Amino acid sequence: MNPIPFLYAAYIVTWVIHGVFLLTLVTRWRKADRELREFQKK
Amino acid sequence: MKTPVLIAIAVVVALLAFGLYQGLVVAPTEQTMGDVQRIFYYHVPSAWTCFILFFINFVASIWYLFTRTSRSDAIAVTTAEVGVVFWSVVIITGPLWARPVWGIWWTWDARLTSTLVLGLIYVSYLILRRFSTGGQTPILAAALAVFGFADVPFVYLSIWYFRTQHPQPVIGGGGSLHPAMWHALLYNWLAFSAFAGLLCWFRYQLERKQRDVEETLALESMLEGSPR
Amino acid sequence: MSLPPAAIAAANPTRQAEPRVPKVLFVTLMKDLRLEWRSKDAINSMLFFALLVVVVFSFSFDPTGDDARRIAGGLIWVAFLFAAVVALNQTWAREIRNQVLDAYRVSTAPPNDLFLAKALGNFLFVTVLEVVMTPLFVVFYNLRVIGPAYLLPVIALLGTWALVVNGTFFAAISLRTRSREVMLPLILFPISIPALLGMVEATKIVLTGESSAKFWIVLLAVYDLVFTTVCLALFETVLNAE
Repeated sequence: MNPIPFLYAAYIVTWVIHGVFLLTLVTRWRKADRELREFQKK
Repeated sequence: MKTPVLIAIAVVVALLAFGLYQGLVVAPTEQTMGDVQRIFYYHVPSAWTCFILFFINFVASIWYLFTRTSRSDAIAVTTAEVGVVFWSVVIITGPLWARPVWGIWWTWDARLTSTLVLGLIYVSYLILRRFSTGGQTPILAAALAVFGFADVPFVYLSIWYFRTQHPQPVIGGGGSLHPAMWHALLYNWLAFSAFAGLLCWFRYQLERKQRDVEETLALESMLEGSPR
Repeated sequence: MSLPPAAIAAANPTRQAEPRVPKVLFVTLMKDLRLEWRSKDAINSMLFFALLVVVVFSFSFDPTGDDARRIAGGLIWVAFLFAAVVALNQTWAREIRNQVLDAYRVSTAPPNDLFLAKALGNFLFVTVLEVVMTPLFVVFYNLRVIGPAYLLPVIALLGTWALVVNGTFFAAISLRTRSREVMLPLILFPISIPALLGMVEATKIVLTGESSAKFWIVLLAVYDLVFTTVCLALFETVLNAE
């Protein structure tokens, strides 16, 4: 089997994992922001 | 976002790009495994970074048990989470390397198996934190972190001995490294450590914000006298 | 954190002296054993569970083949592990129902006595289970011990303590979680992997007589020592976590 696709897959998967994590950080940050603003409105 | 943060991000991206260049272009092709061996330049630095993060989690947990400061607990959860992220990179790039080289996805080799178990311990730590009710989460989690880290030598020793009794192909192989390969490895380690630092900083800020929200919620219900 | 006994005694001159160390342990342990003897809750569910595991495994792995001796070690310990989890999950159930833990927190009784009493109780329950199940395993899987058989009780004792000491501690941790019964095995299993590997390998080596089980037995002993110490060091903290 041609090994080179595995090389690229490994590098790409690494950044997909880090990208997904960063995405969850952004999502959780936005949610916390929203909740804080709701409290401040009250 | 503030300027220092943007500069830090730029530096980290530059380091990572340089590391990528080193790993894919500059480092010489390995003799027996060919170009696929270059996965090594992502797999190994991620593993080292993961271990360092789990060690910091251990130190932060002990620090918390002695001082009970919010900061130490925040560092503990941060390093555990970012550590698990790097752990997943190690666990996935390992088989991606093994498959073309050895023909099988998972060989139960000593290092990778030990790393798998190590990660399971910290995943269970994160699940405990998620499922814990009430305000005792930091203490319980810190206790588990101490257990987890105390287990690390046992994990590696037992699996290593098990493998010497039942040898299997070793992912990553032994053998010495060409100096240019060392450079590529170390540059990538530097880059990923810097990246981990950045991720930890982001995660820590998120943790602080979430605690702000919790405190505001607690204050609200205290003042209003009714649960939300 | 609880005050040192001297401070309590000084603050309350009319209070009785702190109970002697072995007494609390003994009393708690006897109480648990007596209650268990009357209800046989834990023992019955453990036995049934272990039996189920034995039977189900015998469908998946041919128990009469030549390899039986090699895989029996693993099967036996998996059965004991699952059964132990059943016992561990109910370790603190009685205390929670009757708010006994709060009483312990405010009393001057050393928390470690409570922990050791619970751990020893669990240890006895699981050992009884093992003693009952082992003949069944020998019969179902046609086992004959080729290596030094006297090592098997040693392995059983060390291995059972490894599971029970951590399990009792983690059962106390999972008290304050949702899905309590799931949380216990979830945090127990990863940390127990070196001990499990040790138990299984040592048992297999003794059954097949292939080599020496010394490394695994020493590993189990050191594991027991280290984690018993960690449990005793941290139990009071976890008990008082509020």
